[in-house]
This record gives sequence, structure tokens and C-alpha cells, in this order.
Amino acid sequence: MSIQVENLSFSYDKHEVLKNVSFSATENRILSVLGPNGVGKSTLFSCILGLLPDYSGKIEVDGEDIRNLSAREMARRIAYIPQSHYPSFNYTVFDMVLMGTTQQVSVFSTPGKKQIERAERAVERMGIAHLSHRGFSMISGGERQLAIIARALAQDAHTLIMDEPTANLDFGNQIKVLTQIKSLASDGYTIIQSTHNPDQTFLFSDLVLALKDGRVFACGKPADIVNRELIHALYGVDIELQSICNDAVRVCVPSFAAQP
Amino acid sequence: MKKTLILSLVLTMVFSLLAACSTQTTTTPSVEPSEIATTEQPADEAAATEPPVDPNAMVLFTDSVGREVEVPVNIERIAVSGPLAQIMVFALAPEKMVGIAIEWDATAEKYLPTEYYNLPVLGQLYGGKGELNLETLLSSGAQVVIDVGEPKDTVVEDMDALQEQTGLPFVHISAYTATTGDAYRMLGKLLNKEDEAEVLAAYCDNVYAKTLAIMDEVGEEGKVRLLYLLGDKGLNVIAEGSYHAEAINMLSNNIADVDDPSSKGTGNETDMEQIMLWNPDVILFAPGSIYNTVENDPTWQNVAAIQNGKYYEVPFGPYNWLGFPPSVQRYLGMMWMSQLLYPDIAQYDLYSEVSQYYQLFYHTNLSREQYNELVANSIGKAEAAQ
Amino acid sequence: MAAQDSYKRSHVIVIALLIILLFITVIVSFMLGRYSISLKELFNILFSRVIPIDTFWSEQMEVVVFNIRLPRILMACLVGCCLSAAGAAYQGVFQNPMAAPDILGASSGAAFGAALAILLGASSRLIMATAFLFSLLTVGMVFVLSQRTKGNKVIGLILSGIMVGSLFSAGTSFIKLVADPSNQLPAITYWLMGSLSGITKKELALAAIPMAIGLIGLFILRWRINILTLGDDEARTIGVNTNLVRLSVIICSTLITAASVSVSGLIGWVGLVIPHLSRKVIGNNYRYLMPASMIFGAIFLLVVDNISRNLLAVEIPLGILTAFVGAPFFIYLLTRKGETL
Repeated sequence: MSIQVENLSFSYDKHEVLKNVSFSATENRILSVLGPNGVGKSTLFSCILGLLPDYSGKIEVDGEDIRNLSAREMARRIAYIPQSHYPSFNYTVFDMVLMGTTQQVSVFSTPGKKQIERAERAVERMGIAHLSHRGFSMISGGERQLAIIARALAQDAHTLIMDEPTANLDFGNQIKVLTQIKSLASDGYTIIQSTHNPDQTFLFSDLVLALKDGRVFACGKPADIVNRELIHALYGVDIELQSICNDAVRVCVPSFAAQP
Repeated sequence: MKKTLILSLVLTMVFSLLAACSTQTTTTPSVEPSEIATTEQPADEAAATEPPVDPNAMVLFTDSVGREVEVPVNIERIAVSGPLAQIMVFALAPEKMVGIAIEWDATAEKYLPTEYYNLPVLGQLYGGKGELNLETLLSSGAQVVIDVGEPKDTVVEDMDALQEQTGLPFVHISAYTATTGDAYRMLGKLLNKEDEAEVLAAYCDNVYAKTLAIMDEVGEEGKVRLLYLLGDKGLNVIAEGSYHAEAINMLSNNIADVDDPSSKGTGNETDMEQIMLWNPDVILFAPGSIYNTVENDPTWQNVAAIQNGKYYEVPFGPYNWLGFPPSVQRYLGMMWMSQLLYPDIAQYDLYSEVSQYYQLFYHTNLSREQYNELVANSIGKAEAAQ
Repeated sequence: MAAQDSYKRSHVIVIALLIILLFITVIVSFMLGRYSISLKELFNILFSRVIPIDTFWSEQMEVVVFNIRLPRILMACLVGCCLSAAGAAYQGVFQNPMAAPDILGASSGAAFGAALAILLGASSRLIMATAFLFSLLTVGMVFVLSQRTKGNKVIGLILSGIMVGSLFSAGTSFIKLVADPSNQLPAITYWLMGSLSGITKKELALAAIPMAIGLIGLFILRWRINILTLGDDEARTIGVNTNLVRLSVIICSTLITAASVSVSGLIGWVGLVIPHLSRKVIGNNYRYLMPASMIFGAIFLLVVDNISRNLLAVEIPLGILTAFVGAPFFIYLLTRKGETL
């Protein structure tokens, strides 16, 4: 059990965003959090990352309550991959990746040989070694996303939390990024990602956590829970599920198009 | 590649700047020898007439704030710390000054001997730091730095620090309006020119005593109700209580009574209504204010002093006679104002007094024409025509 | 692997070149001055402190070299180094390439303190101390105030800085209004324009202590400043205690800004232009950017101060010169083709 969330509730002032959310995520698995905008996916991640300490309930990582962990101890366990964005300064890709190793060196020093090697392995793993010395804001959105994932790998935490890793990416980059994520899961990482796209859950996740109004609406394998009732409840639209490739994949088709 | 380009650009920039600086310095020494030569000449003459003294002999001198400073017995080259010292030292020992603190006013060219008018500007000191470049000071060959003025609380500390840093003696001489004579006597002792200093001191003491006597006779009741106006609209006033009002207050009833007298050179702002309320008998305009145009300005015609022609411009050359900066030339202003406002009591022959002052303090013979030009707007039209 | 090594090596070479350039500039600066001293005399005077040499120069030359040029050259280097380092550090903390050392009001506070001290007739050393204390006090006020603002801490800091800074500027204006125009006002005005004239060895020694503490602090924290530029949330998840690191960087930067401003008066542009120039030369990674900015700043201010003390017979205020050099150069940086901040 690398991440265990029990009865998590969180409010901004009076407004309750998360109510009694419980789930767990384990190694070698991708957990996709599904839900419409504003349902509390980002808040949930912020709680797990220890950025919002005023929650009630319990969050454990590797069996330890995160309230007892310092920022540095957290960083050794969980890495965060935010939505792709431009930093204030145009760092090189390699510098950006190397920043992930910060928790491994003391406050008064800079990353050394060991950290540089780790960062090099990470960029190679993500297939972006050739971009190492390019400016971070000069490369494509997909490449930036891969660089941030490389940074998470260099950080050496084994749970990765990704905020809509494929948002704003073109189709090719979406597949490239998701494929990398899948291969990371099979290497033993615990992955929690949020997504807008129900279709992706069938191919690229092992578990789906569906959130509605801050509560867990459903939780289970995508094939078991992602259906027209769930989509209707979450997004208020009608769809038909179509199975293709011997049910290896299912596709959500809007009802009007599915009419014979 | 781009980075090396930028770096080399920066390198060339830095070097060209440095090169620019170094060419500057190579020109400096070429000026220096001639400068020293001119200042040393009088020294040789002096040595010929006076008994020979060891040129390196030193003596302890106690300045106005009680500092004991070791200075050469025969000081031949002096630097000044600011405009007040410049005015005072210039009167006594212009030939010993290696430079001046601030540029002379352009009108000074008419009065000052050319070699003095062209003295190099070294800049002035404000406490510890200032425009006065310390290396310029040292390379000027000055043997002593003289500071004159009302002593600040920190004058001892500031003078000691500068003295320690430069290795040059710094001497402070305090001067107030009433004690200018004593300041000259002290300066005379320092510069071994006690006889010449006594002449200046006596002149100052004499004018001051006479002014006091005149005002005694005039009495508090007899003082003329007066405003000193300045500014390009004539709507600024030096108020009673201002730092600059000393001479004005002494010689007249300064009726500019404001809540918060400003000590700035620009005085307090006022307006037409207030001036009419004050209703002065006499108005003095600062040089460059509206003296020349006020006659034809309808808004001013309701002021009695303007209607009656009782308005004058303060003489200027090479300084404002009433101050700004407040130094010795205020004695000129005192004589002028006494004669202007209380001619029956004062009975000065202004031309001879003024030309004596110019002889003593500016080392020039003031011609009748120059004098007329100076006071053209300052003594009433009838008298100026004489 | 090899690629990283050569990359790192090229940065180290650039910094080494900068150090050599600084060294050359210092030597050349010793040769410049209104008091003419030949090269032979200069080097003999300098080495006479290390090895015994028969004195053939005048005592006054020694005064010029050790009491006037030496403290001034070292001070110019230190002030340039500090302002530039503080500018670079604040740019990181505020994730904003336009941040300068006075963003938290350090300069406005120092200006107010100095003006107040001059008004009360303090000695030059007391003026320096008052400026330093008011500078620290101002930033302290800004920090406390920002802790009470809601929402984004960084924006709270910037807004508090603007607010408190303008309050102190108004105070300075008021002091200028009431100051005695014959000696206090020009002294205040001159102080505000910035100058290193008349720096003594004692002042140098006094200012060097806080400067050294702050510079060392920024140097060892330089990698963490990289992480701060990512924003709070991202930095925290990388394992950095952002509040603590930010506070430490602000304390160090304030210490060196306050110490610099209190000895030199207001000198603008160095903290903005030099970090930018350094970014162009060595990139944005603070690991190299911080030392490069420090050295570049020292070189820049030393060169400008050489102009200030040599161009004319009288001193030209440094603040005026840095603006003359800095502003056009900054416009050039901004408008260059194909470059972004």
C-alpha cells in the first residue's frame, strides 16, 4: 500500500471540497482519478502532497502518516508532475531535471556527481537526452511533460502524482506520454493521475476513482465501473460504450452518434 | 558561440572604459606642474622678504572647536571645503588657494582678477563624503584644508576622520555674523598673515558695530515695514524666522509672518492677497525676480509700495549682497540697506564703502561705472541718476 | 555523461575568466587616479607591505594608495557584488526577472534613515549606521506586513514592499523639505545620488561584516534559489521548505543591500542589469549565475566608480552614472532579436 487515504475531508473556508474520500493506490498500478472540472481532483492531490495541511482524515504514504513527514521526507516518497507550464526563467532541460535531486543533497550544497548521473539516467529513460541543453521553454509541450516526468524520476520517489499529464498535448504526444507512464507503472512505480478522458482509462489505468461533488462516486477497475450510468452521473451527458479489439479497449460514443 | 560573443563584447567594453579612464589620468599631470609653479612663485617672494624659516617646520594650531592640528608654519597652499570657506579665505589669501569649492558666478568675471577667476573647481565636502575627490585634493598640493561655517555637532569627528584618511590637516573656523572679525583673526594666525587679517577683521567689526548703532538710533518703532520677495512671479517671501532673514530682520521690520518659516533659499510661497494684507512700505526683490516687470503688471498696482515706487532690487555681484550663501558679503548688504532705508542716520558714502569692500575682499578696483551698474536697480531711480 | 562534464566545464571556465577579468580591473583601478603615481612607485608601495623595500616614494603616495584608493576599490567591488547578488536572488524569490534589490524597500528605508541622520546633524559613520538600521527595519516591516496578507505570499511581499517603500520615500521627501538648504539639503541630495567618495578603511571594515555574511549565505543557498523559481507548490514537492529558504534568502539579500546602500547611497540598475547580463552569458542556473553575477557586479561597479572618480576633477555621483550606463544597456538587452527574458 504506497498511498492510503481514509475519510479525507477538506474545506476552503466554509466550502467543503472533499468529503470522506477513501482509497488506496499500490505499486505497479495506475490509478486514474476521473471527474469533471472543479470536483476536487487538484485539492485531493494537494492534500496527498502535503501542501494543504488543514484536512481531516488520514493520509498514509508507505505506512507513515504524512503529518509526521517533513517536506524533504515527503519528496523522497512522492514526486509531483504538475500540468505543463513555462517556468519564470528559461532553464535548460537538464537543469530542470536535476532540480528533482534536490532532496538528496544537504541544504548547503548543490547536486554532485551522483545526482548528475541520476538525472542523466532519467532523461535517457524518457528519451529526451538529445534535448538536455535546450531551453525548457523552447521545446514542445509533450517534451516538457516528459522532462517533468524525468525530473520526478530523478527525485527517486516511487509514487508519482500527475495532474492531467496529457492536457493540452496533441494526439501523438498524448500517446507518447501515456505509454511512458504505463511503462513506469510496470517498473514498479505507484502512479496516481487525474484525467478528463474516460476513454484513456481503459487502456492506461488499472483502477479508476470517480469523484462527484467531492465524494467518491465509484472506485474499481475501469471495465467494471466506467459505463454510461457513471458518465451520465459525472458529466451529465449520454453516451454508449462501444467495445473494440476484442474488448481490449472501450470507447465512449455520444448517444446521438451511436443510434443505429 | 553566442555566449563567447557576448563575453568578448563585455570584455572590450570594460577595457575601452578603462582605457578611457587611463588616458584621462595621463592628461592630469601635465596640468599639475604649471599649477604648482604659479602657486609657488609668491612663496619664493615671501621667502625673500621674510626671515628664512625651515619650509618643513610644523606648529600646533588650535581651531575653533578646540582641535589641536599640526600645520606647517608657513602655509603656502590652501584648499577650502565649501563656499563659505571659499569666500572668507579668498579675501585674505587668494594667492594661496589651490582651487575653489564651487564655481564662481559668471558675474565674478567682471570683478575678480583673471588668475583667481580661473582657479580650478575642486568640489565641496558634505561631512565625510562629497564631490571633493580626495586624490584631486592631495595632488593639488594643498598643505591644509580650511572649513568655515557654523559648526555642526559632528564637526570634530568629521574633520578628524578626513584628516586621518588623507594625512592633511583639516582646520575648522567657526563664523557667525557677529564674529566674522574673530574668524578672520584666527585665519590670519593660521596663515601667518595677522596684519592683513586684522584689516579685514576691523572692517567687519566696524560695519557690524556701526549697523548696530544705526539701528539703535532708528529704534524698534522706526524700522521700515518691509518684505523680501523672490521667485519668477515675486510670490515667494523670506519670512521672519528664516535662516536667511538674519540681515533683513536686523535692518527692518520683516512683516512676513508665516506659520512655518522655511529655511530654504526659495523661502515660503505666498500670494497676492497676503502681500496686500501685509501691505509693506518697502519691497526688496531678489536679483532675477520681477523688479523689471512689476511696474507694468496691473495686479501689483494695488500694492502701496509699488505705487509709491518704494521697491528695489538687491544688488548682485558676484554674490547676492544679503546672503545666499550667508557670508561676509552681508556686510555690504547691511551698509546698502542702512543707507537706503535710513539715509539721514546712516550717512554712508556708499560708493566709497562698496569700492573699499571690493578692494579688500575681491582684490579689485571697483570703477564708478561698475558701481552704478551694480546698484542701478537698488537705490531708487533718482539717486542712481546722480 | 561526458556531455554534462563539458557543459559544466564551460561554465567553470567562464567564471574563471570573470575572476581573471576582475583581477585585471582591480590592478588597472589602482593605476587610475587624480594623484599621479607611476607604475613602478605603485607596485613598490603595494609590495612594501609584504616584503621590505627601501622607501623612495613620498608619504603622501602611500596615503593615496592605502587610505584612498585601496578602501575605495575594495568597496566598489563589494557594493557591486552585493547589489548584483541581491538582485539575482530577489529575481529568483519573486520569480520575476524585473525584481531589483530595492523591491522590499531596503533602499527607501536606508534613504530615509540617512536623510534623518543628516537632518539631525549626525557624523558620517552615524549616518551609515542609521541608514543600515532603517533599511533592515523597513524590510522587517514589509515582511511582517506580508505575513498578514491573504493569498499568495510572494505577491503579498511585493505589494507590502511597494507600500512601505513609498511611505519611506514620502518621509524622505518631507525631510528634504524641512532640511536646512545651505548644508543639509545638498548633503541629503548628494547622498541619495550615491557615491563612494571618501570611503575609509574603518567604514570598509564595518560594512564588510554583514556583506560577507549575506554573500556567503546566498552563495551556499544558490541551488535552492533555483527551486524557489518553480513556485511554492512545485518547490515543496521537490522537498524544499520554501518558507524557510525564502526567508533565509531575503535575510541575506537584505543584509547585503542594506550594508551596500548605507555606505554608497542609492545606486540603481546594478541589481537589475548585471544579473540579466550574467544570465545571457552563463544561463539561468543559479549554481553558476550567482557567482557570475557577484563577480560581474564587482567588475561593473569598479569600472563605473573609476569613471566617477577620474572623468572630471570633481566626483560624479555613482547613481547617475549607473543609470546612464544601465538604462540604455537594459533596453538593448530587451530589444535584441530572438531573445527572451
